[in-house]
Amino acid sequence: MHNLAPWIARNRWVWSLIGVLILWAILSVITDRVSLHSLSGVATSASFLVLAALGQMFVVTTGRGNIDLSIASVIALSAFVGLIVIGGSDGRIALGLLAVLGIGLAVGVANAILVVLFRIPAMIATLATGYVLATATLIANRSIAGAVASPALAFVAGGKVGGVPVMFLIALAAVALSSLVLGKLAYGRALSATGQNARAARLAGVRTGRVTATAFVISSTLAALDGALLSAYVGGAFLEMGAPYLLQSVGAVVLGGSLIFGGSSTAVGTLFGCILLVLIVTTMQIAGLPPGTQDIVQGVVIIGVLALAGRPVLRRIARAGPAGARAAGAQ
Amino acid sequence: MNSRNRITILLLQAAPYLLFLAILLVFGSLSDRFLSLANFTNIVIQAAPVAILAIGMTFVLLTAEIDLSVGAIMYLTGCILGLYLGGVPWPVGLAVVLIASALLGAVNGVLVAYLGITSFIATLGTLFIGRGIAMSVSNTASVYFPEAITSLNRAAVFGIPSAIVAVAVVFVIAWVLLQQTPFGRQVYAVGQDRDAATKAGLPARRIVFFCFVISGALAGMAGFVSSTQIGAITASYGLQAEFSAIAAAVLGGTSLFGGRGGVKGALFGALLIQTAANGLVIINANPYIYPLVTAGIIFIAVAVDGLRSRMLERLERRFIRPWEIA
Repeated sequence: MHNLAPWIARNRWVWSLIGVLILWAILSVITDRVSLHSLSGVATSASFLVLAALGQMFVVTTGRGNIDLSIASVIALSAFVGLIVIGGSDGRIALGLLAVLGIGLAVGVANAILVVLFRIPAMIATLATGYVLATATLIANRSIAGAVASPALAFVAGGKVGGVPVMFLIALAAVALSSLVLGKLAYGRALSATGQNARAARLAGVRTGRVTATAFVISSTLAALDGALLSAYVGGAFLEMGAPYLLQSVGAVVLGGSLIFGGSSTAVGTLFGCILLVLIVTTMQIAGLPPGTQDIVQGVVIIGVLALAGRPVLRRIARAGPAGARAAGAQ
Repeated sequence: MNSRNRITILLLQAAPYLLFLAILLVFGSLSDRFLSLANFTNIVIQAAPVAILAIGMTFVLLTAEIDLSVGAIMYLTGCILGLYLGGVPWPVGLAVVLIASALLGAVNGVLVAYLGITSFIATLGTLFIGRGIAMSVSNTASVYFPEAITSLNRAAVFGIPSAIVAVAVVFVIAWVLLQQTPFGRQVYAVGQDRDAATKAGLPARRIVFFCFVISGALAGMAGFVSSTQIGAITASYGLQAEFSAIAAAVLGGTSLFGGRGGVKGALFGALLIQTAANGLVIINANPYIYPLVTAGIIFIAVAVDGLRSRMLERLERRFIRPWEIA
């Protein structure tokens, strides 16, 4: 058992898993309505958050306080464009996805140019691209006329295979892929190195600019796909569609145990962070608490988990130096 | 230093002002109403809440921290003002708002300075909590302000509209505090290099704590001023106000990484954004291009600022204080 503390320090996603289990227990006690049905609802909602949060995680990992605030606008715009281009017919799904991917790529490249080339702080740069996208969304909003989702995409977004939501399987696949990229691929190593010490990484031959740029492209692309799927799930698009995903994606990333300073991220943790945040909302709704309570609890949980889990890890890294950081590094 | 470098630096340094001048010239030539005293008064009044927010945000940014909760503080103290302080005279209402918002800022300060939680996360958490409390006390319904509050919008001191007086008072106090007192110098020192400041004996934690208190209190003040202007608030009130404040501060030359900037820049940044917005309204521009113009201004100003600091950085290798030579 004496190995437990370092193991937890290396696998910070445990904290968010514990949070999920505790909430799950509370949920089972206060209500007997916890059925498989409501569970799959939680899983589906969490899955949409997972796609956005994984992208956010890649950007956060690049360090320097980098963050992608354009996610919300990308989701809203691609929701509209997806609906408009696909126009409810299965035959045009490929075309729609292509259009949406184009949005994701374009926004990601734009963000990357602003942040990497012009060295504008990411928070400001992505905020401004968000403004631009919001304008595009307003224009798209005028040209949409009672769009319906195509049946096949609606199945992907809202359907089930053997009782498990398809969307959840997609989210799990994305988490597995991200874990692989972070932990096993050269890109993931370069990403962690860039986030931990960009200067040292550059001297060691890592092309930090490219690494950071790629992270922004990943983030926007995932958000764009997320938006298209979300519009198929709710069967429509509206202007404020992406708004909840902005801060929740950041919240899920840090709840999962990724460091907000970058350099060390965990995709599994991000998954649990998303489930935790969605479970909080569900619990509050089932318990019939007044509006606002879910936000209070989300805030308390974010601060609480960080206060509990974040500090010892940071202190360990500070004490152990780069070796400790590596040990606590990419999952 | 050769004269080419000198001219480039001077140009880059003056870039935000040149941008401001360009905006004045463009809109001034498109409309004769734009360059009038009445319109400038309007611009300052409209910019007042964001300017006050940005001045508070500057204190936090100078210490290399960030405060995402200012919009939530505006909403929460606005709800307190509208729901519970309807019958009291406005100075009492303002005092309660300031005390409440300073306390909320103090919560951020404790979380960041004393519990060591990253400010981005801590204030993200208090953002959720603050909005949550506000939504539950108001039941997410609109909150209306009594006549005693809204009539302040039309009030004036020596003919100067109340909102401008508020901005001026906040600005002068903040400027004196930051530029003329030991506390102000310590804020810069902590932001430049927190470890070095601590080793030099500065109470870094206490300084960061007070910066959050100031940011919170000014968020309350900004909320109060905007309450007098709009008369009622809804559940979306103050949403993303933190980003407007950060953009205004950064536009005015305050660094997100601490130690560089000032309240003059924050005021200038807020005015710059509002001037462009106002000009677009006056020339009857398509509302769709408002955010594009705002984004463009932010891009240009921040990119120019980045160019300038990189150039100074390069020159610092050969000169100790290149900005003085320039």
